[in-house]
Amino acid sequence: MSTETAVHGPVGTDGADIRKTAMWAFLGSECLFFGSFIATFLLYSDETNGGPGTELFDIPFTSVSSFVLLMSSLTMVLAHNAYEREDGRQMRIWLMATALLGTVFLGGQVFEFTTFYAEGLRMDISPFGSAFFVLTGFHGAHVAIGVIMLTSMVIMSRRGNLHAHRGMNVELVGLYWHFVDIVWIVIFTVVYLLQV
Amino acid sequence: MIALFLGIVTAVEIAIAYIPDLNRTLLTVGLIGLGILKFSVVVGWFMHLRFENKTMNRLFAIGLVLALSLFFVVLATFSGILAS
Repeated sequence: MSTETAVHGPVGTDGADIRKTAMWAFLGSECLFFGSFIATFLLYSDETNGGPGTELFDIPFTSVSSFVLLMSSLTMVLAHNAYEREDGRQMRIWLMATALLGTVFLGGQVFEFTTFYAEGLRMDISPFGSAFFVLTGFHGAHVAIGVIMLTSMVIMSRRGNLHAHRGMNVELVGLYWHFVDIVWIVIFTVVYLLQV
Repeated sequence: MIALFLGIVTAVEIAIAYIPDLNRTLLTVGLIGLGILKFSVVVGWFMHLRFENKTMNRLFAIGLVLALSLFFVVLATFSGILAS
């Protein structure tokens, strides 16, 4: 049972916006999604079938990508602050900055995948290749979806269609974006740094 | 300040990974510890979970606990620990 208020969206019996509660439930389920892929990667990290393995990892390059994604969380916080101050212009600037940093991260991932492919690492060459590309590929897909949502927020704001009480708002997109960031924190530590 | 802190922790992680002849167990514990620290800071402060109500905290905690359980069960089962 929920009620509608003028300021927020539908409110649950605990007084919280049910869209936000639903987003946290979704993010909890995403923990299971990525947890299973990370466990699979660890199982197969040594099974290269004689092909390339973790020696291909370029830690300095991936560190820069990680830093870019980490900073995108900061710009997302700034966008959310501007949203709460009802400063539409600042919000759009920070949302675009976040989307841009996300795109830079994706560009880095495309470069990494292309380099690995050229070095002979493919999805079908070994369990290591499959586990690596599926895990990092799904994370990249989440980043891409985030970039689309951020860009949509900017367009909706420009058209005056961004309302706190209707549909997805900046706070919900921010939660999703920060989650994508924390998944990368785990991937960077477990998949890259621990395999050096 | 939080972003600066996260940047510094990331730099420390990378530095630790490159320390020559560092004990493998120490390296693993150190990197996982710093990873957990970064994870907690982003979830607690950037995502404001520490300021949210119990329902949201529980929903995320359930997902996290289930994910960790699944993680260790999969590793234990397929790496042969449970079979031996």
